[in-house]
Amino acid sequence: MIEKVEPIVQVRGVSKIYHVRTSIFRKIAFYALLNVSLEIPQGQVQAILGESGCGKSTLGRIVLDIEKPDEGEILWFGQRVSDLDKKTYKVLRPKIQAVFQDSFASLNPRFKIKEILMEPFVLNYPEEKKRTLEVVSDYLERVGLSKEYLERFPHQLSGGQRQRVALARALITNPSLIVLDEPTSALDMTIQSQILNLLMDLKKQYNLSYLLITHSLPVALEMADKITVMYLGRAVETFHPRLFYKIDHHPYTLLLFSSYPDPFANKPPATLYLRGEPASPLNRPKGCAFHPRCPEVEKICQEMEPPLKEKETLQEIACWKR
Amino acid sequence: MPLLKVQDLFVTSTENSTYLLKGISFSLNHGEILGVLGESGSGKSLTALSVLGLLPANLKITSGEIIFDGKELLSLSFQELQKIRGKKISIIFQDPLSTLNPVLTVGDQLKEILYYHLGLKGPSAQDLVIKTLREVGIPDPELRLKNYPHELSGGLRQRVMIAMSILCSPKLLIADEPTTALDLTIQMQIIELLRRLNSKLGLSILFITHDLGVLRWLAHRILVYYQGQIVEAAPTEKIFTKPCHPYTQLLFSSYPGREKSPVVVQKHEEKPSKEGCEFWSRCAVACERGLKEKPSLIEIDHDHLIRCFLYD
Ligand SMILES: Nc1ncnc2c1ncn2[C@@H]1O[C@H](COP(=O)(O)OP(=O)(O)OP(=O)(O)O)[C@@H](O)[C@H]1O
Ligand SMILES: Nc1ncnc2c1ncn2[C@@H]1O[C@H](COP(=O)(O)OP(=O)(O)OP(=O)(O)O)[C@@H](O)[C@H]1O
Ligand SMILES: [Mg+2]
Ligand SMILES: [Mg+2]
Repeated sequence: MIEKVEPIVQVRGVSKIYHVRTSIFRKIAFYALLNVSLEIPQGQVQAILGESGCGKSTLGRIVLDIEKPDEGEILWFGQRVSDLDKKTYKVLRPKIQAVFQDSFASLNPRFKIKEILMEPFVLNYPEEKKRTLEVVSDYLERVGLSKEYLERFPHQLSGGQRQRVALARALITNPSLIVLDEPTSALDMTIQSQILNLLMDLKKQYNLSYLLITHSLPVALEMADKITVMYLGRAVETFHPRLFYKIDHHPYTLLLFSSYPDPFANKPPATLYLRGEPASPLNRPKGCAFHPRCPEVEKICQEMEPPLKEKETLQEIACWKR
Repeated sequence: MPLLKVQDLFVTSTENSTYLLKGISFSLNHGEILGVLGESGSGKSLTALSVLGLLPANLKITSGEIIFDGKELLSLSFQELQKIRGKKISIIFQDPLSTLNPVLTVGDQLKEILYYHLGLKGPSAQDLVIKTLREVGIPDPELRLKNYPHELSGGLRQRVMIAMSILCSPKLLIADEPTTALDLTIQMQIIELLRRLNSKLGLSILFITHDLGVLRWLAHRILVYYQGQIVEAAPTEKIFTKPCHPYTQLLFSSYPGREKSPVVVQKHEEKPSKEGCEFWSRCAVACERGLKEKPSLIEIDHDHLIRCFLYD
């Protein structure tokens, strides 16, 4: 019998509402995420690109079940997270790990690096307790840090070293999927490429999956099997990086790409293309949310929200002009 | 006279007396944007903290000079430094969440700074705060004023930090990875803003980043750090067209999508002695001399400094 392999994570029509206080008596609600769906099969890398504040980290937190969606549902290994009984939840929970954007805030300042790394291992592999220190040193070494860091506190590390500790902590429980929120932006290029290679090796070796949240276009293109571009809480395009140069993209995707400062190009990026105020989820424009900044805007864009449509190029786009 | 001159700066840890900065020297001219690249953990942030007198308690400066605007900073008292910090020299830190006050709204924090340094309050303070928030690309600044730091996305927090740092029109801005949490379009906007402040108001900037693209199009000159030392310093154009130090070359060739040099993780059999070159074990060349001798920083061309025996 062939077992159907369920994706590690499924996100189905998820929305998340936050509130901001405008005065003591008034709060306004806004959508940080709006009807987002995606699927991450085993061994695949799903990258998320998009403007700051468009809901990428929120999506990550929801996938991790740190926050609950207001609409839609999350599935882990084919099972609705909200339906899981306590015991199954406890088994599946450590399978989804994270490296957060603000690595400093996510490492307990009162614990030594040793303790930070030992805790999750002992918790998940109590039977291997004797090997803990050995395993911990091994993982530290894999992310390029020597044993001497075991005795340090987080504030005694540089930004990039902390980031690597956070990565080692995520890897140590042998997860199936890791949410990587800007995992390498604080690292220099040589270590960045070392970490990315490590991630790719681990992926191959253990069939790991990643939800890779990044601002780096070259990193997304190199690592991902699938890239989703978000704008103001919505997915506006999903495409395969291999087809990147061959297909037509969403105007926002084009804007992102044109603002990429390529250090080895002959001229600076075209900032002229940047127009309009940056977007705010607090004041979502009517129609297509991108229309106030879109160079191709037409009447319909100002009136109706374009649906996310599948194309024959293995692509999904939400744009009236495509 | 340069605006900032750092001379032979040594910083050590009081616990095990290892040197974390080993003789850093550079100067930053008026109106210059000086970029700092380098290995993670090489002392870039510690250099910034030294200039501001904000080193953690277990680290200390053992020798060196830091001269800002004609004043020797290391001899100033805490109070005197406090007056310079935030007003004449301001900093954007690497970790926005840990530097913003979690119990104050964004607006209150910004107004506090204005009051402390400029004695500004009331509507004029409010206006300046809103104007600055808008300038750094924060949409709906009137509403965002009322947010607490944890209610902001990573990039918004970063922009609040940037707003904070330019609020009092400083002479020198030290930016420690200010754009790493930002997406490309906002990043470009911040770079444009810094460039504008630089060319219009003559704001000088020490810009620490791992983002080669940002430095390429922003910095006038670049310093490359490796293990507590500067290994290469040159004008931006020059260093990008002809990187000379083997570490700089490795750094550039590690850029995603670039042709990787085959020597990236080469391991050598021999071990350099303590007196040897710091980069030796990762060096593609790994010269004989580097095994037991340390190279010094020498000028190989006009305004181009290198710490490597290949150019000796
Ligand atoms: N706890 C919260 N309360 C209120 N608003 C919030 C909260 N957390 C996030 N938000 C808001 O939701 C929106 C999406 O935030 P999110 O952190 O997901 O953005 P992001 O895409 O990760 O951005 P960045 O690239 O800047 O990290 C932002 O406008 C943010 O200010
Ligand atoms: N309080 C401390 N006690 C002991 N060592 C420290 C302390 N703070 C930093 N260090 C060490 O000093 C070295 C330089 O740190 P620094 O933060 O300046 O690095 P950096 O160049 O900014 O790196 P990154 O690019 O990763 O931010 C690192 O090896 C770090 O581990
Ligand atoms: Mg985020
Ligand atoms: Mg640093």
